[in-house]
Amino acid sequence: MKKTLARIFSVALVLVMAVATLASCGGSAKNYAENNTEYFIGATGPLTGDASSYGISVNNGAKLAIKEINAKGGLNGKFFKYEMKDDQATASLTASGYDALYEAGMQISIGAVTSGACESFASKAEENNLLFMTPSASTASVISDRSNGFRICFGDPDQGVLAARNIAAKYTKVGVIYDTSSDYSKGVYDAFAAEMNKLGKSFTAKTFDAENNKDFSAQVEALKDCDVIFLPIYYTEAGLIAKMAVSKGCNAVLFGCDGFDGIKDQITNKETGELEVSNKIMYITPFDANSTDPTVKSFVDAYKAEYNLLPDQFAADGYDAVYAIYNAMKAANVDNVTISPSELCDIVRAKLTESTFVFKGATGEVTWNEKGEPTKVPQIVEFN
Amino acid sequence: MSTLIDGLSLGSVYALIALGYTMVYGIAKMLNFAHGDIIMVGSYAIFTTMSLCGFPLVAILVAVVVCTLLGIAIEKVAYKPLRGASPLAVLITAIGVSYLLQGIAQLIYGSTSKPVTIINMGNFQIGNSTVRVSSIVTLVVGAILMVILTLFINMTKTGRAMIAVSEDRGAAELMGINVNKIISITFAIGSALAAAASVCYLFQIPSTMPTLGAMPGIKAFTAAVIGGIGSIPGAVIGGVLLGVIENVCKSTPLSPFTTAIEFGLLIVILLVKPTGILGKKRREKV
Repeated sequence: MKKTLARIFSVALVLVMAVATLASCGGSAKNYAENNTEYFIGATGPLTGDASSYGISVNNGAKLAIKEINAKGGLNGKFFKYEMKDDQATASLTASGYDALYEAGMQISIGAVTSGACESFASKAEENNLLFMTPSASTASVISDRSNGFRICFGDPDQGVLAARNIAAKYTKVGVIYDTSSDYSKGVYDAFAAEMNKLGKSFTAKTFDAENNKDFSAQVEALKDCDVIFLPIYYTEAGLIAKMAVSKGCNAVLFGCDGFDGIKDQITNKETGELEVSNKIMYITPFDANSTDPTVKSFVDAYKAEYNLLPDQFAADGYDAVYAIYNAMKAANVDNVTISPSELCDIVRAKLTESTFVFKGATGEVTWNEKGEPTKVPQIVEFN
Repeated sequence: MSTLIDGLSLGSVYALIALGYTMVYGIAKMLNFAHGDIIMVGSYAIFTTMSLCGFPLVAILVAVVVCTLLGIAIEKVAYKPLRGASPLAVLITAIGVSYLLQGIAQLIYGSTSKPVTIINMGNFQIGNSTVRVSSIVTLVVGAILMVILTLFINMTKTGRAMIAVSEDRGAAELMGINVNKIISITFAIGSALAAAASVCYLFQIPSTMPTLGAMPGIKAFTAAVIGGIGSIPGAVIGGVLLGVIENVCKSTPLSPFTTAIEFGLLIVILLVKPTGILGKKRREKV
């Protein structure tokens, strides 16, 4: 008797597994956009975990944009709905988050926040021909070769080239410290090194591995006499390097990329409010919260009123990503709230890549080429 | 020259952490993998007191008190019920405690790193190399604590009781030593050393995050094993050795392989001398 039960059970189990396999072979989940009463913009991002500061900023920026758009009456009387699923910057959570959103009727999206996760998002979105406008996934591969992928922020190689040109024009003794454990840092560094070689300039490079090591005494010691140290890294480590430079008596200019956004907070003494670092700090960024540009100012004021925080670059990117989608849909006069993701993708793509389509947002004026890459003018923020 | 001093001071941070590992292992015969996270708690204690009152000395005292109490509490709640259980169960519990502490820190302070500056100490010149005052302070503090610890263990009654427990727990108990009390004291001292380590760590690297303790913890564990786990001078030698090797590696083109070289060294030492540099050979009794 027991044996028969076991046999029935195992057959049942096999059947269940077979069905499950077939279902997953069937590929992507079904989209129920035909039931939508609002346009649905989806996203995934790290709302918890190590990279959560980026996800939370993008999410705040995007939510603010949606709120403003809906307050202004939406698009042809139809409102927008937005949701970000937590992906903790991992590929697997991004994939399941995408499926959940897609089934819930997502029609267009701002992709994922971090590069690795966005790779997973992008490959799924490509299958469904769903357009995504990633605010901040900057590695080249995320949007290249994908006609449905667009980006708001600079690509990593662009920043490396820009930095090399700026540095080569002004300084002679150049040092670099980059992070071998980060795709972002390596991507910028490779382009920087290539451009410096093209310009016939020499430089000394040192590396570190942010996941395992946060002591920079040896690297700063080796580059102490440089005029400038290029740091294609994130602000936490950059802040530590800046402090190390001070304690080592190194006066080099510290030159960074958009990852430097937030460094001021790292090197400001909490009690006195004074900077603990005397080195000159410069970085390339598309967004400067202190800018007097009216678009930037209105965004910064609205963000402050909503969250009681100063927006960072990621918040601005999230805000712009939503507005870019909205502006393109408005320009194309989309008037069907149950439009399928694929149809909407073709319409919005055509609009975004039109040569006359210029988007003016908190991160500057942007135009997109066929590959989905943005063209915009970088600013160099400087203090000390 | 300054690379060497930086390496020595990093080494003394590792040595301070390794002391905690080695003492607990020597006496309680367990690997306390939550030790690195006690350092993390210490650094957040400093962060919080510094932003509340701003007196470095108060912050350091608070860190020592918090860490010591935490160490005792962890021992009472998580490890004491498992005394006599299989070593694997205790090990898993320690890893669990480690994740618990990281999770709590992330819940309270968030996952992003926070800058913590205790004191800005500046630098001075020796010849044509710049030496950071904080490196020297770390070095001196580390050395003093190690001497005090050695004296404490060899000179005081409690210290000698610790040696007795580490050599033969059963016999020590028969001689009237309160083993449970001794183990609690060991955890208290180990955790106070962790607080000292977090102060020295913040001198070197003025920033904290919930996973701060993980990597230094593993490095210090490596140092303890290299030096011979259970041996106090061994932990110091292992820690300093590892710190110097790390910093020398980072200033050469081998820099990307620093971590690999450190752990490679562990493998080599274990192959050549499985008990570590100063480890005692102990025959398994059948």
